[in-house]
Amino acid sequence: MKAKLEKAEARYAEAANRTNAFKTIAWYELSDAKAKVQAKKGDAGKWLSSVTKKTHKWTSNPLDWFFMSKEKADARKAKAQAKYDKAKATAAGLYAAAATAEKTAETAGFQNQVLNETARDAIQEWRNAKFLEGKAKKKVSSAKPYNQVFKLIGLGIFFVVFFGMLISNTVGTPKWVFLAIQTEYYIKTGLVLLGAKILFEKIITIGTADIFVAWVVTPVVWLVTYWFGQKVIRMGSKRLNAVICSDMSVCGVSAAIAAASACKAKKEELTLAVGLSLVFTSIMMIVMPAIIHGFFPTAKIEILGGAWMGGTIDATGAVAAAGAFLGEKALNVAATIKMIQNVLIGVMAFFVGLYFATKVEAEETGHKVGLMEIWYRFPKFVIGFIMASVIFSFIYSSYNAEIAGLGSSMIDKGTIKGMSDLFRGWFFILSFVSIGLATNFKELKEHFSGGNPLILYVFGQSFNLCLTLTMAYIMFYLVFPDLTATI
Amino acid sequence: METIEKKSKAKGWAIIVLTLFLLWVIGPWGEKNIPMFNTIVETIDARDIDSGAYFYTEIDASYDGQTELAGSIKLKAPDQYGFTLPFISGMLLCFLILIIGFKTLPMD
Repeated sequence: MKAKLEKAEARYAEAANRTNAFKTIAWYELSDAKAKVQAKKGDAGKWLSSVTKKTHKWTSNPLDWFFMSKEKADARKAKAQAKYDKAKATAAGLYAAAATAEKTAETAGFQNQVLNETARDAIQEWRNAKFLEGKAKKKVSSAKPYNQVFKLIGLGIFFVVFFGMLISNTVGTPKWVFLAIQTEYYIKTGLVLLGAKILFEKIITIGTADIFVAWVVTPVVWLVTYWFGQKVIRMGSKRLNAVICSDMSVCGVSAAIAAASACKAKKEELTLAVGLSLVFTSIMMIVMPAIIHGFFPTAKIEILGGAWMGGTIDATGAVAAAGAFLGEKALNVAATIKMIQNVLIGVMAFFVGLYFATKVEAEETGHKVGLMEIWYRFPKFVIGFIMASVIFSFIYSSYNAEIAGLGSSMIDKGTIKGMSDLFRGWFFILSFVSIGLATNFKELKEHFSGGNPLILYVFGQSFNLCLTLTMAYIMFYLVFPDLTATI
Repeated sequence: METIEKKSKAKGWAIIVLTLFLLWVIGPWGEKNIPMFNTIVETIDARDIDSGAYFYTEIDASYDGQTELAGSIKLKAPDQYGFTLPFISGMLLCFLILIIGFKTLPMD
């Protein structure tokens, strides 16, 4: 990996660093060459990916989930190929224009502001086209026939039978494994694996403005919403209040799962909070870009709009989709702010766990708790989550200290994407299935009585929208405008 | 008793049918006929965004965005990249809010 990165540096670095007036074609070529170096592309990574492969996407026919015939795959390929050819031709044309504009700017020693801006815009257009070309190419290569029926059955047997037999025939099935405790096991294992991808170095990505938008607004929204739930609408369950606050203020489903496990919420409470998050995510993903387009000043649509959506829409995928609708910069800002906000999953779970162990449970049991009791009650998976995060952050930074980009190649696009993500995905799928099977709709209805959870979510999200927009404007345009100009 | 059970079963089936109707009929209809919805779906499709990433999945857009933005700051304002004083103060402020906030949360 290191040798490949060094090779990329040797080939492009000198040309990439000719100027800092704008990002040159060579700068992007260096960035692309480094991004291609991925540990998961090794033999072990490919094998793991193939044995843990989840189902495919489907739109109109659910059978596409598991099976696609050669005829259908060929038809898809032909359709994708036509789009790819068109995208390729567009990208090639824009590359030529970008190269000419860059050459002209270079001839003027990169000192002419107008020529620099012309070159920067031409390069940006080429990048957008190249990005779409890459995605179109991926669709051509992925249009292959497949049959996952036997593989998925095999994988299920592997998990269920093999591990079950191994445990029951060695240490014996412990009593605590019975009943619904497996759900907890799947969730907590999934969460500890999730911790591995929370890498602290990434929070410095877009500098200081983002930390105020993502890290100062989030705890304020959580605390104010929780207070509103307890004092104003008098939520019946403190745990439901905490779970809704987490999914609404941090990042939706993952934060809800972590908070629910930390405060030992009921499955129905988690289901309700996740349901609210999914409904509002779908609405916000469509409505927010429309509002931004309609009401924001043109010059601020992408950065301010991206920051606003990144800090408020719950799910990462929806944030990216809404950001992409506004443009390239909006997508980058929104996705990055969301990523930085996601780092708070463990931090919030830690504080929620501590609060419930020391205060809420002490009040419920009627006596003050000592240090040992706090330790006993504190959800240990939070420690596993934070430890995984710290260890992987340390390894990530150590790799990057050797050569820029090595951390991403080995950890991001190696251990995480190539291994822990695959297993985490399966653990979360199993936990959601378990939660779904164990959810009692009558109890869910009881929790929803009076519509308090909905009022809580709407209040919290409205407050979140106002505070995030204000903070984003102050930070990106009043306090750090120079930093914003670099984006 | 039997009538109540029958009614409850009928209600259950009605909910399932309604859900499937929303998923397979109303959803695709909205995708094709509501312009804003349609444009977003086309954007998601062209960029191959994993819009179903509901639990924290760092999708490709996150990696690309991070590389792009970190590269921009390193290139144009390297002195403002990293753990600067304002940056550390933002982090500390976050922890201060959490510590004070959780200590003073209402118990009733």
